[in-house]
Amino acid sequence: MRFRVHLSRPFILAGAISLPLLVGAASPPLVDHLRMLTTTFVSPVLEVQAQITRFAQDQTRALLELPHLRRNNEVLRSEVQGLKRDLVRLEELKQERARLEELLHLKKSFSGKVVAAHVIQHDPSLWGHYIVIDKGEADGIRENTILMNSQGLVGKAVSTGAHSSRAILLVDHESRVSAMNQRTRDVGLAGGNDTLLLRMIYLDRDAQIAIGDTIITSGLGGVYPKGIPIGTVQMIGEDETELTLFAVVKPFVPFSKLEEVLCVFFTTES
Amino acid sequence: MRFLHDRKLMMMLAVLIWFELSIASYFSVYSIRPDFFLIFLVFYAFRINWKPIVPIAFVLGVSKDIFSNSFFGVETASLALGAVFLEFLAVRFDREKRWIQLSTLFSFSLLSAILFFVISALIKPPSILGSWFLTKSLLSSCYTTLAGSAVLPMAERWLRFPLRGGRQYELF
Repeated sequence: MRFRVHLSRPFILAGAISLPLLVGAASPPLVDHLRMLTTTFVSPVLEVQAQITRFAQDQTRALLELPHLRRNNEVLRSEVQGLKRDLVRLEELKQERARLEELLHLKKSFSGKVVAAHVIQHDPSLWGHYIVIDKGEADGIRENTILMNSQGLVGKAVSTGAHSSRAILLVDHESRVSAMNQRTRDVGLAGGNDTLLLRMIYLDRDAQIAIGDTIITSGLGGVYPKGIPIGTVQMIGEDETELTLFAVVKPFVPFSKLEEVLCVFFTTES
Repeated sequence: MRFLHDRKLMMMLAVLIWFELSIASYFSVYSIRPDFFLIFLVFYAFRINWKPIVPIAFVLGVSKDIFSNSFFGVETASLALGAVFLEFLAVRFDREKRWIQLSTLFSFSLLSAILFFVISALIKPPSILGSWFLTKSLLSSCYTTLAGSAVLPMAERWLRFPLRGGRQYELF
């Protein structure tokens, strides 16, 4: 069988390849609209599927744990006794902390609304780190709404539909956040570089940064408020220009295993 | 574009896109995962029909572009150009041999990644480049080939007949 090249074929191929690229270059809002429309259309199906998957996971987990339940029950009963004692002590500490906060005039940097959302889709591209969550404008999600989980900063919403939103993860190569070393207060710019680690750049040459330091958001830039945990420093190096330092930061959040996120609506009071 | 009238193929593509969107992420290891679109394309080109492989790659590429957030069109371009290479190989080699299928899958996967990178670099510098790019492309190609070694025999068994795949060499 011979592989014949028709004269029109290269033209058709070139047209087919360049047409989407031209659409992407000429009208990014149109592409965004198309993507959001598709997400809105597909998300109910993915949401139902995610619910079924979670149900199946829960049931499987429950079945697997059944033999251990009796033994765990005994252990837990004894732990409960210990925890009750700790609870009394913690209540004391909580009251003490509240008093100290009052003394230091520390205001909470954000108020109120937090919406929990499930991740219903991960970016199918190998080179992007985006997610789709099952909450949208109807739940108050807007562009730049911050996504967190219990471990730290996840990312932010970049486009929203009625009942679903697309969000960029911190590890995406287009993601940037103004960051700060919690111990030394050195400020830099942390961003993704398409690995599961972050790169914090523009650190002062004299910065006293050390491996193991905790990196938090600095609050500069206006999108992310101050003090959200990002990760820990794993490596420090000198920039190519030899004018600044950079640090490789291991994020607290396991981005490849994200299932739930909190959408946090910050209102800066200060 | 006759393949667009093939209802079974269209259904298969819809299932494949759904699988890539919802199930494929469970195979992710440190953000590296097999590309089931590439496996399907190799299977289709080698075991069903190599002729419509570029248009099918185009359709899959567009769907990938819609559901991802990379620059629109780059996935389509890299997949369609990669499919030309796949078609080139499918015509010249023994399509029944598994090792040829797998080595084609590996090179097709690597070529698509490199094309993605080149087109991204041309369109939107500074691009995703870095030392990690080559490592990730290689690892992902290896993982795709590994997954292909498991998926291709299954596809051969369950999909070839419904999709009316023919043999390369027919004696009678």
